Amino acid sequence: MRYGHIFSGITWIGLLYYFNFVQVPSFAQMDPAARSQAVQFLVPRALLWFRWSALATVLFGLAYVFGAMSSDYIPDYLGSHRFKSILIGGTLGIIMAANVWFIIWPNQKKIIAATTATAKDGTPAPAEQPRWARKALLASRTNTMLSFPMLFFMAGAIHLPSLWE
Amino acid sequence: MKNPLDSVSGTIISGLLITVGLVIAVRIYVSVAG
Repeated sequence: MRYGHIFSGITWIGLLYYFNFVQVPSFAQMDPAARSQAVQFLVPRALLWFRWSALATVLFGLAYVFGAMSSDYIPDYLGSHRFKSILIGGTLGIIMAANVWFIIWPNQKKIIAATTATAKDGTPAPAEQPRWARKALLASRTNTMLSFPMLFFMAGAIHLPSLWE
Repeated sequence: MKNPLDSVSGTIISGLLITVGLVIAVRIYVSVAG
């Protein structure tokens, strides 16, 4: 469970940083035809891995925590420093996954559909498209911002017990 | 006022500040709750 959580988490946060640190600044410099191609073929694939790895990270994480609660491998798990750190990091992670599934993906899905329609039959871009892009960007940037404390407390659960002493 | 999330550097700085804020909150909790 822990390795599943770590592998899917690396995939998720790696793609989050790709979107924020690489794709968004690059899209701003690309010409419209190249950007349209990327939105039709690159972005859907990246978002597929992004949203499912986000869900997998949360599910593996919850399974690990419930497993630790019900086993006596870690004595008094709920009262431990490890659990308190995981509780903070996990809460942030669940907020981030909700952002992915309920804000970023629905808005990106509409952008991909509109861009594909424009490329295929010249349908004009909907007037709402900039608003969809803005919502998705702010949710994505919020997740990038929250990823710093989330990762700190996740790693701190094992590597920084002195935080709680 | 400019939204810090409009830039990558503003996003990173905001994230680091939230981290520091949470660490301070934890330390206050530890000193109060023992």
